[in-house]
Amino acid sequence: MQGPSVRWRDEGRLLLEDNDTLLRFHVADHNNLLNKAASDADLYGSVLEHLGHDPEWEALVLSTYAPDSSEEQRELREAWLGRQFVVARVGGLREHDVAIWPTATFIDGVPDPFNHIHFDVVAAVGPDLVPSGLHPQNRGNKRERREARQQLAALIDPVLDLFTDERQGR
Amino acid sequence: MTVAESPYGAYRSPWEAPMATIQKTIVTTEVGPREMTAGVAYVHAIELEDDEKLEVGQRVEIRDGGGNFHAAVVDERVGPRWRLRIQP
Repeated sequence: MQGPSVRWRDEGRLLLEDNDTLLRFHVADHNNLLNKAASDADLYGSVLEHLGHDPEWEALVLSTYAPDSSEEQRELREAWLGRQFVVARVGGLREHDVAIWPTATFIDGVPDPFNHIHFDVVAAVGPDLVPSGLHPQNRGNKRERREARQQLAALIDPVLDLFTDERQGR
Repeated sequence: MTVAESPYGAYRSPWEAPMATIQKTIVTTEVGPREMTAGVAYVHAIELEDDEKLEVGQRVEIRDGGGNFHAAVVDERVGPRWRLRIQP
């Protein structure tokens, strides 16, 4: 399959306890994070269908990993080229009714080598979540795109705020 | 974002070679283990700014979310996305 794709995952690590920790690569530029979430929103059709939703809906998610051992955590960090991570406790997300989906992601059919511990933390699910000002076919000017990102931020930031810099958590 | 670079550095004297300008296009998208394994990254039109016009065969630099740069060549357009082949 050409392009990026996502599907529901039935293998690998599936169950998470409240005390488990999810790691997410840190993205320094907030606009880039919002743009990426918007650009991936249309990839979740089969996942939404699996969950009984309309596959035409969109999903705004934050990609995370749940390493099961210190060795796995080390491998993850090496593969992410020394990137900083932010962390969230599974119980903390559940307290805010944030859904956590076990998903597998691919590029041109090539799987993420860490798919077995990959989870999407869900900020929003529904129709037409990505504001029209960001859509390529009726792309707005810079002000309109900024306003569109503000709409996205209202959905994503409350979930992003549940993640903390891992260095602060120590 | 497009930036101008000079292979000669700053212009120092009238006897030196005139400054040549190379236009380098920088696109921003995520490059993680999935992209590195596939040797490919996709950038969506949503992630491009106004002045970023990509063409097949064009050399670009990908800046990932951590500020790391990856050399790449525009491979193909796939719907609203461009496929960028990451250079080894």
